[in-house]
Amino acid sequence: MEQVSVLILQKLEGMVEAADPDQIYTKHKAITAFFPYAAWQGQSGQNKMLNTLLNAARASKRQGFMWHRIKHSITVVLCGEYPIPLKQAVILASPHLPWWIPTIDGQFIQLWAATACAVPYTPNIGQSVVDTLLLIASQDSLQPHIPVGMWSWLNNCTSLPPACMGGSQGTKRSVVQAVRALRDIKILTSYLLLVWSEWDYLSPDGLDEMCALIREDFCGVGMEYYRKVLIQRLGHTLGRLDLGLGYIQQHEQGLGEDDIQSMKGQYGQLKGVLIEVDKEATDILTRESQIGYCFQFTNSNGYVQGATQCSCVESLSYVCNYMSGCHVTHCVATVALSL
Amino acid sequence: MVLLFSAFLAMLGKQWLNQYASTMCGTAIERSQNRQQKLDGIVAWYFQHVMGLLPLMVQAALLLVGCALSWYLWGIDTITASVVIGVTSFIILLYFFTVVAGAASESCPYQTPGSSVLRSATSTLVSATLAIIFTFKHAIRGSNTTHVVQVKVRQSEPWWSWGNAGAFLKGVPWKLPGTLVIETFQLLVGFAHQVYTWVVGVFSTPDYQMDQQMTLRDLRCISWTLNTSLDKDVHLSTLKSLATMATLADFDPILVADCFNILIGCVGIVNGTVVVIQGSSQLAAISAVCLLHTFSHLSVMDPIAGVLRGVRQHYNMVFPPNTNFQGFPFYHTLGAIHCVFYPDWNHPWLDWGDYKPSSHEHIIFAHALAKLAQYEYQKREQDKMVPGWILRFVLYSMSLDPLPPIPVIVDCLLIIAIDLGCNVTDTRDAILDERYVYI
Repeated sequence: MEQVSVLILQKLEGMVEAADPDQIYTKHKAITAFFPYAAWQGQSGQNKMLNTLLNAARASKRQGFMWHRIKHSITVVLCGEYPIPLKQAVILASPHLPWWIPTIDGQFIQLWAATACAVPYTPNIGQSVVDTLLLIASQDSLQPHIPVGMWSWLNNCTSLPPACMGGSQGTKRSVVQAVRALRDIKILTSYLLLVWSEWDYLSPDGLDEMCALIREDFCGVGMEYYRKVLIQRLGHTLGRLDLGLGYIQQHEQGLGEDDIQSMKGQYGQLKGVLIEVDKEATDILTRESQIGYCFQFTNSNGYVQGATQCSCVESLSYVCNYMSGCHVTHCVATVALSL
Repeated sequence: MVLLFSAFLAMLGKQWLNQYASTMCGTAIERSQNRQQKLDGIVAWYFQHVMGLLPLMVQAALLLVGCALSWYLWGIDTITASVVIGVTSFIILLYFFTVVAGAASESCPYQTPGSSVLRSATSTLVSATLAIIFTFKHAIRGSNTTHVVQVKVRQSEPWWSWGNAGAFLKGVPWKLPGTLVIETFQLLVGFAHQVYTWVVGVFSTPDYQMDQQMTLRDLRCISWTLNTSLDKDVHLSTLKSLATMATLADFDPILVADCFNILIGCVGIVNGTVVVIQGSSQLAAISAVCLLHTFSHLSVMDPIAGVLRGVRQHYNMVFPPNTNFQGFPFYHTLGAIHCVFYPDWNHPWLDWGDYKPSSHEHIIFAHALAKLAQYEYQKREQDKMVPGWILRFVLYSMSLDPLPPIPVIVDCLLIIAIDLGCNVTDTRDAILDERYVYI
């Protein structure tokens, strides 16, 4: 048994090193069939098999790498009383599941979400959950079944690996709208930071939606901190793209110089919009920095959340950050009316 | 003396045969194993050749008596001697006529051991002569460079010239004369080897060799039982015995056909759906398992065996590709067999979700599928891969809770390794040893 396992591992490692996604994909059924055994081995602390398998899945660069027949086995693990390492293995493999198959329904999403919350948090688990969450959200039929609480995972994860499927699929307009609909500026910021964490093509309609949300949700003096963070992230991503074709092709061999320019254009556009919005907010503050205002914060339904009086720009910024639970656009609207 | 010696041998032979035919006690399986053991001994110890010598010795004795009598009478009375010589000559001619006639035509009823020897010697002689002529021509012309005979060709002379013939004859090893002598020598060497093996084996036969010999004997025994008996109960118990054999050595390929014949004798097709003949469900199920077991083994050991082709053609005639196996009692076994016989068809209907075999059945099944995976992988020239239905079986088996028996896991891993293109032949022996520890 040991000998065959070693043979399989050596072969998989060789395939990953060869970096031929098509060749790896032709063997996705066998690799998937190997998954249950690798997961069982992971229970006794032998994670090498599982890691090698996941590396192969990543190297295939295909969405839904795993064979759809695995769904039954995964459901059994998600439903049953199984050891935590086994469930962890399932969560780690979940970004490679074919989420578009019709047999995956709301119940499966609920099971997955419950399991994700049950396993101990590690950075790898966090990345896998977020990656999967974005993939699920990109499926219109599955998005409504995502428990609202799952979106807070976006706050736990700082970045996504390069060329991951969730990163690219998660920039669709429907996903951007779903995150925006939560009306939580922290989650929205975390979401943008994640999908911009590594260079990748942004969905064209998602790009438009992002520009719109920056103008609407990140305008105003109180959003300065978030804008600064987002601009910083975009600068980092553009810096990666500036490293050139050699660096990019280490992760994605199929990309060319045109693709890099195109991606630079997308991220540059977003950065431009953010800088523009930031400039507008700064202009307002500069003109009215010596006037004191009375602010009244309300939620989206018009209920009063709190009130304060400010006499300087610093305190205004402080208040807006402090009252982050309120509906920020209303706060800004109040400023405009006072002017 | 010769006549007396042959009479002595005949009596001895009668004793041997009496011992062979003596009744044995024990179960049907034990009795048939005992019978097979004796039969194997008859073949291994050249019993039939020894017994075949008796008529030859009597014939030789008769010839000697005829010659001696003629010689003796010639000095006493020429006329009487002439009659005796005539009769003796007639008998000799008649004997040679029957030998030649038997050698010339296989359908001739006057067959003797001499006829077979003469036929074999003639055909060997003819083929050897043709081979030498062919070799000679090609060696001289220089067209066949791979041939073992290296000849220095004289380019100035034609290929059939004396000079080239002489050069050729120097290079050819002289092995033609006396094919009969060689065959007799081989027989003697074989006999001596058997004696040596027996003597050595009595003192030092390793356990695994003993096991292998036992397996071989059991397989021959099973094959003989299936061929000779028409009783369903005998077939059932014999096939059960076959199904419990985890290892299959070099069995008689006809065993595959036997299993298949029993299977199709138990099932029929009504409106495209398979039905089992009443009272035969158990036999059908076990014969299906045995068919898969033996077919997969033979596919790897001898992929071009004629039996495989015959069984495949017969199956394709009996079961059309769209045969419905749903709801069948041994749906998975028949489904797997159907996939084997229609490899180019897509078989998404074969679902393993409700496959609940016993441990032993699971082991046999996984073992058979591992061999089929190897066969199917090697068979394909392009897009080398194991069929999806086998990988589905692997996925199902590996996902079981608790995990299946270790031999099943080993076979499943082997299937994965084969599909990934790993070279499993080097490790196969070690893997097999490891696997059988658990059986």
